[in-house]
Amino acid sequence: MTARLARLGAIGAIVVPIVVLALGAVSIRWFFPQVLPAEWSGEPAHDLLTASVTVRALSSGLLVATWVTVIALFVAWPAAKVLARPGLRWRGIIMALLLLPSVVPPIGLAMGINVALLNLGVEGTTAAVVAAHLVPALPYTVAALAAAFIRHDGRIDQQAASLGAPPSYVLLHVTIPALRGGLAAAAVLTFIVSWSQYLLTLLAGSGRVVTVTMLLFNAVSGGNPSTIGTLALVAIVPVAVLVALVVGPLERTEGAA
Amino acid sequence: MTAAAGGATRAWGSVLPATLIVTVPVTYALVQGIGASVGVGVQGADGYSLDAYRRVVASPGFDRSLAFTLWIAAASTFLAVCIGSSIAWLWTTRPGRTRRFDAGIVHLTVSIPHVAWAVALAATLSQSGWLARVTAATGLIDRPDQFPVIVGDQLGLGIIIHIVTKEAAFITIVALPLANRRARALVATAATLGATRFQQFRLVFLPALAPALLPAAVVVFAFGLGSYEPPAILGVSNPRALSVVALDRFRDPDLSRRADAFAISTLLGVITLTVAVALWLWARRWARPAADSSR
Repeated sequence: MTARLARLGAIGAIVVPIVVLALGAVSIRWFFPQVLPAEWSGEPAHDLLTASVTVRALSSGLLVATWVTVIALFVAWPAAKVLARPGLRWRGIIMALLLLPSVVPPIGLAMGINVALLNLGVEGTTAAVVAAHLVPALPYTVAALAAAFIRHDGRIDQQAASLGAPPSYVLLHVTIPALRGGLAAAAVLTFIVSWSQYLLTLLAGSGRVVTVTMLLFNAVSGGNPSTIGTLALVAIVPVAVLVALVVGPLERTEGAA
Repeated sequence: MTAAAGGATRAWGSVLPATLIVTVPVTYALVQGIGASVGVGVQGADGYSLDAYRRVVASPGFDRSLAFTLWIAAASTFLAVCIGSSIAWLWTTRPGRTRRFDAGIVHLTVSIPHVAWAVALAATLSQSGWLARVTAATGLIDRPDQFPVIVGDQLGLGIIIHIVTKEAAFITIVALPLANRRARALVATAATLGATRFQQFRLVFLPALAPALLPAAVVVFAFGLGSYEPPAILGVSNPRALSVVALDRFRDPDLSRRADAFAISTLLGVITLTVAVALWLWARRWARPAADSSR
């Protein structure tokens, strides 16, 4: 019984703030103590969504996140395949190294990457932002793909090869389809890590690469519920959709019965 | 023999790109940060000096900022681990039909961008926020200032709530594979031996989860110490979280101030390392039985 209540409380704790944002997004006037907006309108949200600033930020974020995902998958695939092999001597060390970006305080990592990009002369470019995002994202890609490879029975690949299929065929028509759930989960995780970045984008992009999270951060001081709500939803909704799409594969990664 | 050697080289080649992409920037950031904090490569500096550290420590409000930052990191980590492992416990011991939905909520929580979540919490928990308005609707309060200060407060409650909600979900996800594969069987055994549910949780479940929980706790602590967005949006100007102070110095037009930013980030890194080592030592004591009772 208490577990039931706790569960509902926990779900409410997550859902309610998002709903509050959504209400603000379609409000024109909403002040204390109004629980619901006094005046509704979709117009400010629509105007904001179609504004060139927003559209540019959206496409920047999408572009960066897509590049990060593609590159990360390419790099992580061979690594994950090897790490999934049982008895690999260095596996523990490699996993610990991959943990490194996550145990460094984010402000230190972001400043350091900014200086590195500056010294390379590439800061402020989209490529720089992509490179910066790869650092926190890649560990997740490798971890998710490795989990998928561990669950994968490599014997079907061997069977296909022994039946005469060339390695490229095995890869495209046997391995990848067998791993598509884990691949999807890895891709989504990586995309989300990049999509959610704020500080790294701000510093690596020198303010020239603007994403939705940056627009949202700047909108906070203005205090306009419609602007804040709309931008926040633009940041959250793609994430929610992607998570919903791969919940199944994600659960399987966790070994749920 | 040659095939095995070739295989080993291929294995290294496969793992190297990913490892390098991750470790080189981080190592550079660490080394560069330490160097910059003692004056290497910073404009106007001349050889090694601890000036940046002296300036930072002497700056007004530093003590409060340090205490504030440490408090937030420690409280958030503790609560996140407790809540996250409890959720993992409930999921492992009471599989329900709502599992997929619950998993979706947990993954959504982890994935929401920090900026968006901080904004959502501010809109809900501030004195003129949604919760305050609901309270006003029940007649308990009339004015916003009668509602307790939860965000933008001196104890960093809003920041803690932000970090705990996000990171408890993270811990749940990290703990689940181990919980499902190892802990579940051990807990069942303990149950047949007569352990109460709480004993099962504390003496069997948690230790079984330790290999995953401990690194995760360090990750959460490092985040609590050095993340920028939650304190920037949910915090106050006094005391300011150290990450906010650091970014401020980093963007100071006076370039010699930059060293201060790196002094702060190096300090945060050292604190994280200390906590990580301390946790590791503590865990090792646990893993080793205190006495050999078979003698």
